[in-house]
Amino acid sequence: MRNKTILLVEDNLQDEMLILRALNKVNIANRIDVIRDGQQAVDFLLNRGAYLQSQLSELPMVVLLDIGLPKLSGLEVLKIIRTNWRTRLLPVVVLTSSDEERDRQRSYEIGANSFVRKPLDFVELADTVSRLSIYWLSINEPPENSP
Amino acid sequence: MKSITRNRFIAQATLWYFLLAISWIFLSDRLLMAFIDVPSLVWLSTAKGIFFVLVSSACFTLALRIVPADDHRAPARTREEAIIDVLISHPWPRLLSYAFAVVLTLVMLFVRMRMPVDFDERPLLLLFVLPISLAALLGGLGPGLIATAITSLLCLYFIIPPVHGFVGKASHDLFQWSMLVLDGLIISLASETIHRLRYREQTRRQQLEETNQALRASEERFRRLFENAPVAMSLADSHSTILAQNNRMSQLFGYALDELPTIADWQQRTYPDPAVRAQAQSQWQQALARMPHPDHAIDAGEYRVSCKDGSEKITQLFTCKLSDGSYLTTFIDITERVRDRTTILDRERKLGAIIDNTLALLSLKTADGRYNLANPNLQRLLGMDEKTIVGKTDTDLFPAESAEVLRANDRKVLATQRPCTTEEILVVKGRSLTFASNIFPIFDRHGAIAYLCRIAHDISERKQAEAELKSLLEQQQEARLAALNQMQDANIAWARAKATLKILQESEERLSLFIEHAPVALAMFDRQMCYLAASRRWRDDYTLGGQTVVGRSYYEVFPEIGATWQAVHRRVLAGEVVRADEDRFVRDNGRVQWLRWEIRPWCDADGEVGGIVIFAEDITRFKEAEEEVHRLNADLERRVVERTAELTAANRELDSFAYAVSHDLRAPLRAMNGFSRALIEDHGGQLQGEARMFLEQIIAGSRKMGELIDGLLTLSRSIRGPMRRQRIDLVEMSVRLLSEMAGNEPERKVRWEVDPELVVQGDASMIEAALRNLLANAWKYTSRREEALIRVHVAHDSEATWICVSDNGAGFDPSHAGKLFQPFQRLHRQEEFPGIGIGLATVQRIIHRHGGTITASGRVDAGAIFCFSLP
Repeated sequence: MRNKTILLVEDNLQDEMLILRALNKVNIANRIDVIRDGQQAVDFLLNRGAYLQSQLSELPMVVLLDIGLPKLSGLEVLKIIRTNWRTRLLPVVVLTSSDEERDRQRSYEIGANSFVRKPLDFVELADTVSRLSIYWLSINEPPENSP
Repeated sequence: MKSITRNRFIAQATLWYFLLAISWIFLSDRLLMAFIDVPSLVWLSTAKGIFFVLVSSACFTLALRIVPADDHRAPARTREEAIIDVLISHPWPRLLSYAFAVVLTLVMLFVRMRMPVDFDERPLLLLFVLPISLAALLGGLGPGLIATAITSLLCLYFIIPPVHGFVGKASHDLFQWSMLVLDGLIISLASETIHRLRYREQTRRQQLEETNQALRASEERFRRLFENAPVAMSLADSHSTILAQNNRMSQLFGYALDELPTIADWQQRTYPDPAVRAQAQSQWQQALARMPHPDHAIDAGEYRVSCKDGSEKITQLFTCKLSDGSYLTTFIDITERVRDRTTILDRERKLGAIIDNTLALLSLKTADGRYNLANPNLQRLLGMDEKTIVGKTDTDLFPAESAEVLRANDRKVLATQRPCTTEEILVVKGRSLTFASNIFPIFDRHGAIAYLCRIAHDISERKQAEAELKSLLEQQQEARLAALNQMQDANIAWARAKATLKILQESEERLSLFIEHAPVALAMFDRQMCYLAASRRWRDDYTLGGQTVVGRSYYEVFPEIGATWQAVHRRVLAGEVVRADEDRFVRDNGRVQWLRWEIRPWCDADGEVGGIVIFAEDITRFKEAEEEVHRLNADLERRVVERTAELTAANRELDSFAYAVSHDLRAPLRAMNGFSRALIEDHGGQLQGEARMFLEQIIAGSRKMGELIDGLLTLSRSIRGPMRRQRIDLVEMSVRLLSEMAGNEPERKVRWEVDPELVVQGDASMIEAALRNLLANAWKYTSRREEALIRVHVAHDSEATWICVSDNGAGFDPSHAGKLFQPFQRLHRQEEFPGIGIGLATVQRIIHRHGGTITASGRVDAGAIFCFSLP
């Protein structure tokens, strides 16, 4: 049985706080791992660098991935996730401020499962984030990932 | 019905009536004898008489009415006939008539037995004649006999005393009874006869009717055949009246039937010349006279018939006498055939005359070389008549060598299938003769060679004369030529010298004129480099002014000419041509001059180099202009490259700026919005007075800022990316967009009119964005109208075709029209009509990107019209 967590990759502290606040309202804030740059996100998922350990950690149910990240951009992270055997089927939702056509196109081409724009208004943001979490944690059936 | 049948019927009916009446009188009188009192006798006698008259008149009426009328047409059937026909001809009513006989008889028996009056115990058998008669009349023999038998038996048993037994009857009663039986027999037989006659008559009438029908059908067929026959036909009776003529006849000659009702009229009109008419009439009469018997057509000969339209047709007539004495005449138009025949005969006659009278020798051979025809001239030459020649071959008629010559030429024509003209030398009767022969093939219908025709002229004498004349001429010519030659030589030399001189003079004059006015600098020198000529341009270019240069040395006139040029001149004098397309010279005054020059030698009459020609053209101005153009071009190109690079960089910068805006500008706004809300949610209770309202304003401000950023991005993206021009149907697009808007706001009542044909060339997604903005504006600004109307239509003016979107909405103040297309500029307050003022700016940028134009016009509360045109 998979550890039912969400990985949030977000460099903006304010956005992070708002998202966690939104998740708190639906009582799932305690199951969020937050990573603040692209390189760390990759290390976290693949148990490398700072996250090197003898036992492979469980993968999250879904990754909420921002695009504008330090070190490695969100799209680069997504590319690495998809090329790695362990994470190739991991559900990834691109969660970004951008409404650029090219970002959306590129994300799907690389293999994002979903592309969600962060609404500007907090009420809408809270609604969007809580729906996303509920959907990926409870409704969606994840693939049987090979170790 | 034939009268014989009718007569016989009448005779029979009369006979039967006679017998019936006699027996009635006899029987009834016998019956009356039984009465003693006079009053009853008288009463009965009267009744008997009335009864007989009634019966006989009924019988007569029936008998007379069943006799059919002596008429050709089928008579109308009377009701009685119908009844009788039914009784006679159908089996079931026949059985019915038997039943009727039985029932009637029984009824009569019943009546007799129940009669209240006692007739002195008389049997009164007379009463039973009535059922017998009626049964027989209706049913014939069978029912009559049945009625008779039943009546006689029942009467004998029940009526004649002593009743209820067959024995012990009085003799006078038995007599009456036997009379009744006799009457019954007679009536039955008579009725049967009538029935038989009637039946036979009916059958005959049916047959007659069928025959009539067949006759009518046959007549109809004949009439159609006659009318539509493809040959002209007419029918005349024995009195020469034309009864009918068919369509083809009317077409052929043009006359209608009522125009020429008799044969006499016909002849009068169609043979206008009296002599011709007389001949035609006699020819016609002779034809009629030798007509063998009816129904046999004869050829009545050929006639020249004048048609109504004035033309003349040669017609062959066939006539046939029909059994009723009328004539059926057929006219066949043989005009063409006669004309062809005449033409062929004429041609044959002409050909025959030509063949017979030509001086040439003419022969016709079959493909296998046998003679088929030889004209008289050939017959004379060979000394044989045509019969002898025909069927023979060349070998039979000529010596072997000559025959071979002929055959060889024949074979050539057979092989090539083309005419051949040749000379043939033949030995005929020991003499060698030369012939100019023309041999050509004659083809049959299938394109194969049927005959070879040879037309030959004896040219032996001409040949000989020619040869003699030739030798004579040759001798004469030689002598004359020798004398002439000397004379001619002197003459020719003199004339040539004179002509040359003249030509030279003219040539020199032309040349000097040409050199003088040539539009280039041109000078001619002799071997010593002395001027022979110089053009005016030369003198002007080298500022020689009015100096006379001819005869002076080039180097003397221009002492500055250096050794290099002198060497060039020497090369040219040696025969070389030297030239330069552009050459730079620095003059004494320091001015730079560009020249195009060429120096070439000229040859004198002996082919030796007589001197040189210098040609030079000052191309300085041209050269300078060219250099200027080069310089300008280079400059322009450099500037274009620079500007393009700048533009590309600016575009790229703008792009990355927009991207950054999209990503980074939103995050702080979201923070403002989010934390403001968080503040209200978490600490709302502690906020005093206006504090809460201020937070609301922060939230509203952040939202507004977000919308402005979105608008800015939309504007910057509206024309980003490559443009793909294609044909766009604006009708479909307009209707789709308007339907979409109506679907989003179903409560709005908006009527729209879209012209049936709106087509432009442009980038589909950009034009859709522009049209969406225009329609959305129209939709928005008509929101306060009860009856909103949006129109998309075409307008033409002298310069372009405009696509216009107009509405009857709030419109705008035309004095502010300049601000309409500027981004974030709005002409209405936010609470009137919400928006950020980016739509029309986007539309304008898209239209400008296409190289088009957009205009706006409107008034406050009177709607707005936006028109754009695309190149």
